[in-house]
Amino acid sequence: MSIFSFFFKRKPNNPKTLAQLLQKLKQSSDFATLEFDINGHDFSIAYFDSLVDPKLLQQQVLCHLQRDVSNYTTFSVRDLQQIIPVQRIEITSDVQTIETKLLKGFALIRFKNDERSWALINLANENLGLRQNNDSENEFSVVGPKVGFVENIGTNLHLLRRQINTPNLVFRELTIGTMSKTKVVIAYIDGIIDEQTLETVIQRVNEIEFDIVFDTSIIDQLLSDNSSSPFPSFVSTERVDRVVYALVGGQVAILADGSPYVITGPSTLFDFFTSPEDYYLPWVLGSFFRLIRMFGVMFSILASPVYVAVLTYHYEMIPKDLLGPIIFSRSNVPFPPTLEVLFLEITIELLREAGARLPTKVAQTLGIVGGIVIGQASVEAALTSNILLIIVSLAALASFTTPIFKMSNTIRFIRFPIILFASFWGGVGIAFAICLLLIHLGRLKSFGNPYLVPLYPLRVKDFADSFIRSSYPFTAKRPSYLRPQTFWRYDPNKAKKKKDIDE
Amino acid sequence: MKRALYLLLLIFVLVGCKSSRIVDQVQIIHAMGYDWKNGTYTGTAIYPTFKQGPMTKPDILTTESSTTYDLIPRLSSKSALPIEEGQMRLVLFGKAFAKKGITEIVHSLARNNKVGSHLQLAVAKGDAEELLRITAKTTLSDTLYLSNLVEQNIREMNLPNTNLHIFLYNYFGKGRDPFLPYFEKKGNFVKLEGLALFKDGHYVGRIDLRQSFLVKMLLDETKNGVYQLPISKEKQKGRVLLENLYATSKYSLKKGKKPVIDIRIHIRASIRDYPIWLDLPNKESFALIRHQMEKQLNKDISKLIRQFQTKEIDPLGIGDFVRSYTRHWNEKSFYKQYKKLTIRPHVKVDIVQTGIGE
Repeated sequence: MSIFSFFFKRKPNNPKTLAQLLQKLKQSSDFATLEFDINGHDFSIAYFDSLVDPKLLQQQVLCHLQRDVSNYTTFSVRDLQQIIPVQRIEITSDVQTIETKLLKGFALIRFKNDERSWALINLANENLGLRQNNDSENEFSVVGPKVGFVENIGTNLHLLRRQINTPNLVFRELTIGTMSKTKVVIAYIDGIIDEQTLETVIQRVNEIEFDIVFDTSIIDQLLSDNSSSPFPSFVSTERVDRVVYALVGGQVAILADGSPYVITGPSTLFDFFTSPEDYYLPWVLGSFFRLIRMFGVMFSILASPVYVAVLTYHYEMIPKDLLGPIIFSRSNVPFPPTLEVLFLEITIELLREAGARLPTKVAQTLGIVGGIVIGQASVEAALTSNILLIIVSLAALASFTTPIFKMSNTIRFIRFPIILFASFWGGVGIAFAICLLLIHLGRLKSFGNPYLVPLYPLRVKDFADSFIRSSYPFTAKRPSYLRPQTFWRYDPNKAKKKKDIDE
Repeated sequence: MKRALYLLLLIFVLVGCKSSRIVDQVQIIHAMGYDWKNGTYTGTAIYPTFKQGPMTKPDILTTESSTTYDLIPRLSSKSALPIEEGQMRLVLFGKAFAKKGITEIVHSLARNNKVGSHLQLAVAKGDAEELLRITAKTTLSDTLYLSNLVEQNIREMNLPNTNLHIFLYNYFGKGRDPFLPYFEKKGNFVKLEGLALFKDGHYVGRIDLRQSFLVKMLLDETKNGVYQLPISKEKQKGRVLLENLYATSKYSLKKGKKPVIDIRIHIRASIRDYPIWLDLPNKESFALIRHQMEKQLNKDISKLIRQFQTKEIDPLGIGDFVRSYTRHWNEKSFYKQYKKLTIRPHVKVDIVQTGIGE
């Protein structure tokens, strides 16, 4: 509480009466008020031009009001539902509600003869300004549905409800953001979800204090158990199948209006390395590619630190056939291995950062310029050894195999402290850094659930879908660490049964 | 937070304390030779320089000293980069040096954490320096020539498995004596000429490459090695080349007043080359040459063991074998009667194949 304290303590001066409210709203030029006097029925409509769908307003409201009101001798707010073909016309006398609803795209209708109750009609233009195309562009899979979430929460809820066809799927709506008043929905399947987890989630979401929710990733950070960890606490995905899978497994999904990414949790470390494609391919292939991905992560984290450690401290362990090529390629490099590695790693980070910021067409050119020209030139100028160039680019490649973008960022980040450790203490430093990493991961929690489960605490039975993706008869049970209320997803015996043709 | 800052400070302060040996800024020795000449020790180091390409001509450094300890430090005074022995693959002893005793070097190597246990030790007839100089010549042009030669012969040919680890086991172990590959200079080449035998860290003699196959077979089960044997059939004399496919040896001890050791050796072999007059697919000649081979092998092995017994050395580890069957085994009393110990080989040869074609 410093110089900004006045900012928090100032009491909001809410308008007390409708007149005051209208006065305030009229400051904006997009706030429109239409006055009518039809056959002695004196009424007005007020709405935000920028939020309301003009087609709806004309066809459903104005048209009917102008034509049918004159048929009535006495007409009140309560009769509106009879002539206006719009669902759920709300009658209210609360000024506060009117303010929120007007700001959400409702139209206010008031009659001069009734100054105590007013009607609110939902004319919000849900899709205006939002993209219609819902391909999952950033989490691509060759096999399987390519439908992704969009910025419109209604569409997102529809996508979920369409796939999970059970009354147990519950959407709980909350509003977050003092300024954005963003609609946030907590989705879960009743009867599977652990009550305690759900309580934690709802409590945490309710406690969020923020002004504008731009994206679920902000909610992600605000909900996270340890906000100073580089590891993401929750999976955030734009793929529908991922979210459905999480819900069915006994996790909670959090959706926010205006964000195409959905948070699912409680998550474990393994969740970040599974791809929907693992489940669409036969289990042998799925498991193999999952193992490749995990190997890629290990390689990506350790390759350049090991290079630094071995070349700086442990030349003894270089295989005899590799000694010549390594020494030769390094013989003209003026830097110690640490600087050499940092130079290349930072170059690759720059390339990636620049590629992500630039428009797609330029980024392609940049990739070629960066990858080929800079790489080739720096080797020819003897700034780096070509063996290192291969190692670093392979490590970068391996880090992109992680399906969740947030995790792949983390992997790229934690390499740097390990490189420093390796350059200060060699192999001991790497061991030390890995220990620190494991300690940190062991302490991490996601909605109060351990992050490293089923490795730590050890849950042997939950390994069915961790390093390898077992075949479907063996994954009938939900993971026990989520403490689901019912364990069986489907009957494993029926799934195992072979229905032969002569049966 | 404060603690983290202190840690960070420590990291930056302690960076100065590191002892890095960056791989291209040290002089990596690939082989080292030790000689004893005219009352002084000579050390020869062979090292690669990779300035022009991954494979380049080996270079040689030599120095002399009155002790073996400061040979490597003295080499440093002739080198632009610090000498590092962490990649050493071969240590070659001159014969004179080996006769004088290799104990000091072996103890030093055993304690050195930089050298791996795959290091090869070997003995050179004459000077180690001369041999290393031959390998450094352009025709061979490889710093790892000798160690590769030893490894190749262990893997494919008659040389029993040796390296620093096995040497130290034989050297320090009770009831066994070490042996090493033995090199000779042949014109402009270096040739493997069998095994050098040691007793208490001193060179005492050698056996040839043919006999080293027998040692290899007697020590362990092996899957390689060739052996030439004389055969005769109806006044026709010739030789066959036996190629070992899989040989096992089994020792057994008959205790008593005069203990007897039986060695059962089973060789599955292929006859690679044989005289044309020998009609091999024929059953009779098959049995004949089998019999002759077994007899000859028995004779050769007996002779080899006799040789070991007269020299009172035990490269086969017979003492160690007896120890494993004897309570209160005593090294001194065992080797007193070692000379008179009866050791009987029983060779069984199975000819698995003779090549295709009629």
